[in-house]
Amino acid sequence: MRRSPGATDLPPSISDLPALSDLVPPDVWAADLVAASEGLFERDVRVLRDSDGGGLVVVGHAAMRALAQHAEVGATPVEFLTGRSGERVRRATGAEPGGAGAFDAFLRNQVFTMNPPLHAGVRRVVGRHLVPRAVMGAAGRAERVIAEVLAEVVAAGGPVDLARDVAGPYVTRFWTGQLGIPVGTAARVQHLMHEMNRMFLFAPTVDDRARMLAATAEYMDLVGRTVARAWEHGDNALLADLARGLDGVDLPGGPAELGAFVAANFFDGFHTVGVALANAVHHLYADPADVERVRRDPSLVPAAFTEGVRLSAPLMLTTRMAHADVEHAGLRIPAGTPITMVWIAGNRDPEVHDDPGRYRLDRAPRLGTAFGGGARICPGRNAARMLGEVALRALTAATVEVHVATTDTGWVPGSGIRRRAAIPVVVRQVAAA
Amino acid sequence: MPEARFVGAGSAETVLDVPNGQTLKQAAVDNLVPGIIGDCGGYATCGTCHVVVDEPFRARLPTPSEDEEIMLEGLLTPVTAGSRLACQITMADDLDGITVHVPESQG
Ligand code: HEM
Ligand code: FES
Repeated sequence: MRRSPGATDLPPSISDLPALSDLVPPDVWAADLVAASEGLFERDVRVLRDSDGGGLVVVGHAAMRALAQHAEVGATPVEFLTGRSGERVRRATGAEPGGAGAFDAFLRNQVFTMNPPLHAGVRRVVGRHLVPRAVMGAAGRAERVIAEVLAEVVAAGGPVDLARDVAGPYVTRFWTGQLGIPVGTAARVQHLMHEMNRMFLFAPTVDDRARMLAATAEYMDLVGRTVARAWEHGDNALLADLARGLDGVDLPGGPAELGAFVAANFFDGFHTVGVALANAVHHLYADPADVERVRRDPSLVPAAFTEGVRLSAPLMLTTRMAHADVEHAGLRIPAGTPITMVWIAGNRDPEVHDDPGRYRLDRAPRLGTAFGGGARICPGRNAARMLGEVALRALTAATVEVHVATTDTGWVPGSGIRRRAAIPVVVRQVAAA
Repeated sequence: MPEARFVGAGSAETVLDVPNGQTLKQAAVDNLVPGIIGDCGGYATCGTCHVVVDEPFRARLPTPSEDEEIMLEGLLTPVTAGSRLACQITMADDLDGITVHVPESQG
């Protein structure tokens, strides 16, 4: 394997790497992945041994990019993910988890869990609809939806929560519209997303698990059914094309039903994009001078989104797996090793970003890690960017005033998703200057 | 070693010796050629290494794969007859002297 630029030589064996739990106590890791990763950078540690399960944990930018691009570093099988999720409940509560049927179907239908030879073909089915040109074709719908949502919160008058009342309704109404799901269903889908979010908890309780499984079952049924109905109706070109694409993938183990496939793969669209937008607003509005700059110069909107997502990538980490023996910077990674990519840390590596913790609209663009990398780089990133930029443009328009009541609510601890506990805002319509 | 010439939006030129078997994307990224990003690392899935290949080299390149075609058709930047993804162009003796134009923006 090519030596990645900037990568320091690593010891030959995983057992010689520093153990994560020796450097960062597990409760500190779970409470604040960002602070924990910053502590590791201070010690110049970028690749670690996961003392819990023999895998790797990668926080450094160069190693993350190199490993993400490696052809043999693929998806973790569904059995591993469901096994680990059950193990977390067992550990946190001593209780036996059960009833994971719909969760299993949700995972099995995701491109995220597929490996060659299935992966590339199925990914293409979704990916061709998320290329920049296709996404920009939907920008008009996004503009209409954000205008509608802002009109509602302006009319409501009082403080609202940016994630729950603005970003969430905006992205769910956008996607339900694209996918032919009745608009009246959007609020329920948003609620289910919130419940399903418990799948990212590091130490779920039995109640968390039960609520997550119930929400996943209802979500798969609701979205699956409404998508299937919209497709049968025959007037949604996107669904017709996705169905044709799926028909064309005739490999064993491939997704069989359009509804389940759409529900599983557009989950990030419904959920992660809303979190990304809320995080971007949180960072931008932390300094009124930055807001003023963007209001005066809307060409800064893309930088505002990029910088927000750099600092607070919503999906902080995911686990890949080596499918063959892999070598990186002298380190031998045996086939079957789980590799946890701490995507949010890669974006804060001081080897790559000056003063990485600071929000700067004039930061020179660098390759980010918020959307992963390599053959599995997030196919939804163009859509996420379009939706984020359309909303930020609307929120910073001359006729809109957003007052953030407090930026002091804290990040939700103990989850792989980075989101604020609350972002209370008042949105007002004002006369253009 | 065969040579590749990258012509940037402002006509700035970079000439690189590229070993046979290496992709133009890799050579460009390793040598910080402006305008070539290469987000996905060469899998034709990000579209951030778009270049326009000059004649007579176009016909010497293999036809684009399905992924490359999807990506090129999906770009917002203007795509012309010589448009290719630099990660799908592997240097070989018959490409010695290849000239590619780097668009003003990627994506
Ligand atoms: C800001 C919003 C988003 C973030 C931060 C995000 C992040 C990610 C990350 C980190 C990965 C793993 C990539 C890797 O392993 O290298 C991923 C994969 C994926 N994302 Fe996203 N995503 C977002 C939005 C979306 C949207 C809007 C969609 C679809 C509409 C989507 C669909 C997918 C799919 C299908 C995969 C699996 C790709 C594969 O394994 O080949 N994502 N995303
Ligand atoms: S590097 Fe991603 S398409 Fe070429």
